[in-house]
Amino acid sequence: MPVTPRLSILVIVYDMPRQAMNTLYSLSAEYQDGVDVSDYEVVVVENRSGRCLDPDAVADLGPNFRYLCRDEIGVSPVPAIQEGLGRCHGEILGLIIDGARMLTPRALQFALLAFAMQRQALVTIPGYHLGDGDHKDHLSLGHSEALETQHLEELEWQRNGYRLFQYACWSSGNKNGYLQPMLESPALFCRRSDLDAIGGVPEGFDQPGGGSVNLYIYRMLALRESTRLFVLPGEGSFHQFHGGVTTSEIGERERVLKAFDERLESIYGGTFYATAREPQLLGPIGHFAQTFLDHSLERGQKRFARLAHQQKIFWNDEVFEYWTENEPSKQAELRSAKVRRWEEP
Amino acid sequence: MSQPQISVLLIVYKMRRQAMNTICSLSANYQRNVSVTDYEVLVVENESSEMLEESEVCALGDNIRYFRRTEPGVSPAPAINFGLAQINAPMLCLMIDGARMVTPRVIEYALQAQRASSTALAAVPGYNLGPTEHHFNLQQGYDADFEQSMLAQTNWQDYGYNLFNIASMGGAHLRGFFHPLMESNCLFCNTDVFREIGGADERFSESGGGSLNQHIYRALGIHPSGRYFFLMPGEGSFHQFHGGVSTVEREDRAELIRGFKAHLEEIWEGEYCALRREPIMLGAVTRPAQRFLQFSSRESRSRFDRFVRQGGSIWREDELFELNRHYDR
Repeated sequence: MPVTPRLSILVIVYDMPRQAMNTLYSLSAEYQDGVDVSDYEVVVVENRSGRCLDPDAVADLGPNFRYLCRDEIGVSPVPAIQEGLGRCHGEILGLIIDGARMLTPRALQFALLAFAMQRQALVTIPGYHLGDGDHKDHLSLGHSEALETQHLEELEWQRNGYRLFQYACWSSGNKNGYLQPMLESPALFCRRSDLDAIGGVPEGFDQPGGGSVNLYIYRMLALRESTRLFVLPGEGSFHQFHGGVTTSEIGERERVLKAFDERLESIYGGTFYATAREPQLLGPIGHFAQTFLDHSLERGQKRFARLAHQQKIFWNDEVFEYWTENEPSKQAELRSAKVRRWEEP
Repeated sequence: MSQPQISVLLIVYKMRRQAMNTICSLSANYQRNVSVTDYEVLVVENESSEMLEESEVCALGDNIRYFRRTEPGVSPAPAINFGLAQINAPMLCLMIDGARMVTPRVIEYALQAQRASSTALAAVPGYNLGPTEHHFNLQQGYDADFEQSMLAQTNWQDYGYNLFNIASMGGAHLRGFFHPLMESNCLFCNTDVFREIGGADERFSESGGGSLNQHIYRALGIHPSGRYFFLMPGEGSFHQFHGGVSTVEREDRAELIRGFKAHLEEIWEGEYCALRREPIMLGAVTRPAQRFLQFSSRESRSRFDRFVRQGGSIWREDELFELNRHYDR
């Protein structure tokens, strides 16, 4: 492409051609509103499996799509991420580590807008699962790929991607909504320089699916003092069922998650918490997304009421929390405690 | 001082106490994440028996300028145009009623909106201090003294979002801000665009300007440059009781409002309606503000459902910008 795009979206794919093609279509300029093919590129990196994408079908999605199929001996997407990052040209990165996540039609427009508004933006698009419940319980809920495919067809989501909200539920990582501390961002946008500053994507996440690499990247980026956290409440990233490591009902799931947690805390270097920075909302909130806004508000208010009662800080990871409703004297004390904490090496 | 990005134009008439609160809420000491060089506040006061003290006003910040002027009429329109001639900032914030205090991040978010687009329009929702709209003040036993004691207990100077705890939804969007707004009393726009729509139309010569603010809001909202229409759901402008023309209980109020509306439609040259633009939400929503967002969301359901059932465009004026792709169905 002649012009260097501002935004590079990196999508990692493994053994999910149907789901990935939906995701990639949801990233195409035909579907995305308010952006042009010259604004962004989509770098698709696939680890080879018995069911690979058709390179021509990917290329047909637009001149801004680039596809690489690679051999991977391990079970983690991290080497693919690193190789993909080497092929991204944009100063802004969009990371979709799980290629099964489709986006709504104005996600790219408003993610880009956030960076125009605030140089050190970190943008997260709330994550949902298609169907009635988190895919980790798919057997108990009777959810299947066939059922999901049928629903998607009936929705005609390609005509209006916001209809996906009608066939979705919260993913368990952020089940209390986006006015709470969030554990991860399945579709996040950051400056490349910020990703470099946190040391990129650690190779230590060599477990299936990358283990908790997503949680790590999100928190590390969000904890940067200069970062401003944006949430797009009217947009969503929707997980399609594909038998992923943590997103399907499997017998050893608890054991797998425990191993993921241990690795996460070992790389993070301490106890890992959901990131408690105050989110700044951005973007329109349409009819279909409002149910989730209502839920977020309801849960958010419950949490705030509890913390206010306990005289605790609302957003524990804010550099300076001016926003607590606690007494002024308590505020001053909290503020100086924060300053001290951030001055520590 | 370097050139500010925003000039806030605050019009004051006979409301010393209220205006001092408003100016305090616009000062860099109260506004968060911005500095005095980012913006300026122009206070334009029409002479009355209850004037501000210039030295007190200017003591609130190096970025505050005070103008006192003699006004033979009863409308704020000439004062707005006088203020407009004094400013150089590319973005203007019009606050036609000096009695409206604001929350701590209106300036920060307006600067963000401006960086998104130099011709962005950004509206801050309006609220009334107290349990209801101020034109029911007698029925509610609400007056300036009560309001003052309430304000004194909220500690708003330290945490401006506490104002939401003692406020009610504003009349411009009684059913919340997922409905079309009638106006915004803290409205950010491109200064040149404001000049292009003719500034404040001085034909609105009635007390308080009549429906001047609504006229300005809609004219800006449909201006071809205004693709981006932002709304700050977590911020607010809070009306303090001051016996304003239409914000106090009086027997002839209905007749007065009818007269304003007739004059508005005469100047607009047609039927006037609230601005139907889909708002781009902008900003954090603190705990005290959340109940209003919740209320707005719930109240919007029936309107949205009606449009889905009947067809037609929910945000009709978005079509002027080729923005509406009927995402609601």
